Amino acid sequence: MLFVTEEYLIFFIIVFLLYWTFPPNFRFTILLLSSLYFYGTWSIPFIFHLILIVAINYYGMELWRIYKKKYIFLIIIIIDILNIAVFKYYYLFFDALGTVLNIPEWQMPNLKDELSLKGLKIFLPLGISFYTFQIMSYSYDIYTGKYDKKHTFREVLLYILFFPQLIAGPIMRSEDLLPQLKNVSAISVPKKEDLYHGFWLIMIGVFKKLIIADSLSNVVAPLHLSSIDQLNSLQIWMLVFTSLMMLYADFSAYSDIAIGCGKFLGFKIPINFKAPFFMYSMSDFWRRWHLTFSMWIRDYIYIPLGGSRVPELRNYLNLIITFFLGGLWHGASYNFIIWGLLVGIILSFESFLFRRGIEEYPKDFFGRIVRIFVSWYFMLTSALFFFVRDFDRALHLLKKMIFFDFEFILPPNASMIFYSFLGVLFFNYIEEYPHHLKRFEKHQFILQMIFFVLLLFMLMEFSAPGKDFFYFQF
Amino acid sequence: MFLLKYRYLLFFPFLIFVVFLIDKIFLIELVRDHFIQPGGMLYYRQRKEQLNLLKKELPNIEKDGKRLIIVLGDSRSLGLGQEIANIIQQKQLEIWNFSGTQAIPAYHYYIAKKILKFAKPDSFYIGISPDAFNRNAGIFASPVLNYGVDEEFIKNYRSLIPDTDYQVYKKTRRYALAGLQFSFRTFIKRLKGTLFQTNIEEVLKKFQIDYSKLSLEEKKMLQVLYSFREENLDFYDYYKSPQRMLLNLTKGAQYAWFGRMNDNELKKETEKLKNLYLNQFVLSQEQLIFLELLLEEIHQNRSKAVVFFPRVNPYLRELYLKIPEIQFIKKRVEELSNQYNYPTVDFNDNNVLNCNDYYDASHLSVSCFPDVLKVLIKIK
Repeated sequence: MLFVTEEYLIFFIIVFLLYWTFPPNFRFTILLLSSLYFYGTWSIPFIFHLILIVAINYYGMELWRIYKKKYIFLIIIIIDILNIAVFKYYYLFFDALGTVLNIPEWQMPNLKDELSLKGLKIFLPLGISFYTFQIMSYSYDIYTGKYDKKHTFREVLLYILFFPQLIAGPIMRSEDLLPQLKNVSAISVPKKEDLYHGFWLIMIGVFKKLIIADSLSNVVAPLHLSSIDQLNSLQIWMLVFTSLMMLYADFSAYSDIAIGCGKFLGFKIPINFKAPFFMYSMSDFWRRWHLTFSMWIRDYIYIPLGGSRVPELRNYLNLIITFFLGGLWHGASYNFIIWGLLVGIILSFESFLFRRGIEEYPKDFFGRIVRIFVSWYFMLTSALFFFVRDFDRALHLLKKMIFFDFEFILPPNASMIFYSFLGVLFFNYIEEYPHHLKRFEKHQFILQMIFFVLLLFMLMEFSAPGKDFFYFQF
Repeated sequence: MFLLKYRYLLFFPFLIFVVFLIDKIFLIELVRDHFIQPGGMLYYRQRKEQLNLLKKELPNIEKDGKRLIIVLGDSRSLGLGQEIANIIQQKQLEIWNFSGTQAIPAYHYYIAKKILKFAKPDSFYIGISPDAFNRNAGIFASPVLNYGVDEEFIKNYRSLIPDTDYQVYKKTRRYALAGLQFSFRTFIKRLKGTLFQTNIEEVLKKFQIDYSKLSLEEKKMLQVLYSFREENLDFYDYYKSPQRMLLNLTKGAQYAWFGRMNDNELKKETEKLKNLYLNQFVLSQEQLIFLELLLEEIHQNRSKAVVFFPRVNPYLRELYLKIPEIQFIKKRVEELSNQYNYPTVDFNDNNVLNCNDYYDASHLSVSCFPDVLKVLIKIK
C-alpha cells in the first residue's frame, strides 16, 4: 500500500478514528493489527517471515539476558545477516563467484533466469533493509547495555512493524520508539498544533512525491536510456543533479508523511532530512541526508570499528568500510558498492584536509563558493554510480562529465527541472530555517486550507501516475 | 471516547469527507454543464445535444428529399461536413458529423444505435484509425466511457469493457472533479480572460475605426470573434460556449485545422506519437467486436455504409506498416466490411487521394476534405 494512494488515505483515516475512539488500552492492538494489515497488503507469507525474524531476535536476546553468553548474540546477528544476504545478496554473491571461477551459470542474468524458470526466483521482502537495521540495533543495544528496558514480544514486534515507518524509515532506534509503544495507552492526545503540523507534513509529502518526484522520474530517463553520444556533458551534469532532486523529493516525501501520520497518532518520529542541498562538504551532506541511516551506520558500524579514536589511516579505513557497507545496504549491485567506496574515499580525503587546518566552512565568501563547488563536483560524480546501474554506462557518462565538452544544449524538459529546483530549494530552506515560518503561525489555518485546495488542483493538473517510492527497492 | 472530548481530532477526517462529498456535485449533469473543459468533454457533450438537433431537423431533411449522411470516426474525420459538401456542389447531401476526439468503434456503435432509433440515414461514413485499437492508449476509459457513452451502455456491454478501462472509468466517478479533467491552467487562463477583457473600442482606435459607428450586428460579430481569441469564464458554461455554438452550426464538423506543417516538424511530431503510444501496441480485440456490432446494426436497419481509413502523413504511414497488429486490424476491418457488403477505402493510397496537406502529425488539413468527400460520394 503506497502512502500516496486512496487506499492508504482510507486505511489511515479508519486507523486514526478507531485509535482515538476505543479506550486507550485498545490502542496497542489497533496499531499492531493495522500494521500487520498494512504489510499484508503487499505479501501475507512475508508477514510470517518477518514475525519469525523478530521472534528469533527477541527470544534470543531474552535467552542472552539469562545466560549472558556472547555466542547467543553472535548467532542472532549471523541469522539477521544471513536473512538479508539470502534475499538481497544471493544473486550478487553468486555473480561475483561465477565471474571469479568462470562459471557462466552462476552469473547474472543466467542464474536469475534459471531460478525463475524453475519457479524459485527469490523475491525481496519489502522493507527488509530497514527492518533488519532496526531489529539488529535492538539486539545490539541490549547486548551493549545501551538499552536495557524489558519489553514484551508484541511490543518489539510492533516496534518493527509500526506502519508509518515500516517500509522506508525513518529508521527508529529502540530507545526512540519502544518507550512510546510501551506507554501507548497513556499517550496524550495530540494538540491542535501537532495536528496542523502533521497535516502540513502529509500535504508537503504528497506534493513532493506526486508533483515533483514522479514528474522528474520521466525527466531523468535519458540518463538511463538515451544513447550516450546523444548526451552532452552539461546534460549529464544536469540529469545527475535532477536525479538527486528526484530522490530527495521522493524519499523526504516518504519521511514527511511518516512523521505526519505519527503526529496524528501521538508519536514522535525523528526527522530524516535537514536541507541536504545546502551542504558545503560531503561530510556535511551526511549530517543532513537520510539522518537516521547515517546515524545508524555511525553508531553500529563506524564507532564499533573504532571511529575516529584510532590512528589516522585506520580512521580512513573505518570510513571506507562503513560506507562500503552503507553502499551494499542500498542494493545488491556493484555500482552501489563503488558508490559507497567512493563516498568513503571522499569523506576520508575531506577528513585528511580538515585535520590539516583546511576549514570545512571557510570564512571568506570566495572560499565558501569554491568549497561548495568542489563538494558538488565530488557529490555528483560519485552519485552517478548510485543512479546509473549499468557499470559501463556509468563509466562512459563519468568520462563525459569530467572531460567537459562545452556543448551548451539543455536536456529536454529543462523548464521542469528549473521549477523542481525552485521547489526543492524552498523545502530545503524551510528545513534549514524553520523558525522563519513562525511569523505565519497565526494564519496557519487559512494558509493550510489554501494550500490544501491548491494541492488538490495541482494534483489534478500536474501529478504523474503514482510510482513506487524509490527506497522501496532497498 | 477521545473523539468526543477532543472534537478537533475529527477536523481533518471531516475535511476530507466534506471535500469528497462536495466533489460528488460534479457528477450531476447540470453542474457538469457549467464546468465544461476544452477538448473531448465539449465535443462529446455537444454530440448528445446534436442527437436532439438531428431529431428535430429530420422532418425538414425528409421534406427536402436530401440524402442524410452520418459521419462517424475520430478526430481525423471531423473535417467531413455540410460546408465541404457545399464546396463541391453536392447540396443534396445532408451531412451530420458525429465523430469524437479519440473516438473508437464502441462509441461509433453507441451513437449509431441512438440515431437508428429515430432515423434511417442513407449512409454512414465510418472513419477507422488503427490508433483506436490500441489498448495502451487508454482511450476507451477516457474520453469514451468518461464522456461519450451513458451508464446504460456501460452496463449492457460491461463484458466487452476491459477491466483496466472500467476501473479508470469508475475512478472518474469516484473523484468527479478529477474525472472532468479539470485543468487549473485553463481556469487561470479563463479567469485572466474575464478579469482583463480586451477593450475592443481601444483596439479599433488603433485602426482608426470608430466603434460607435458600427452596426449592432458588426459589434456582435466582433465580440464573438474576440471571444474565440480570449477565453473567459463563460467558456465553462456549455450553453454559452462559442465552440458549442460553432459545432451546432456546422452540424458537428470542425474546420479549424487548416494549414500545412513542414516536413521536419511532421517527422518530429510523428516520432513523438511513436514514443507516446505506438511503441507498445496492444490490440484491443473488443473494438473489433464493437465494429462488427456497428456494421450489423447498420445492416439490419438497411442503411449503407462506407468504411474508410483516414489519410495520415507518410512517416506515420510508414510506422503503421511496421506494426504487425495494425496490418492485422486493417485486414480484419476489410473482412468485416466485406461480410456486410460494405466497401472500404484507404485514403493512404495515393491513387485514391493525393492531397498532402497535413495540419499536424495526426490530421489532414481541412483543405483535403473536398477531395475526400468526392471519393466517398462516388462509392456506391
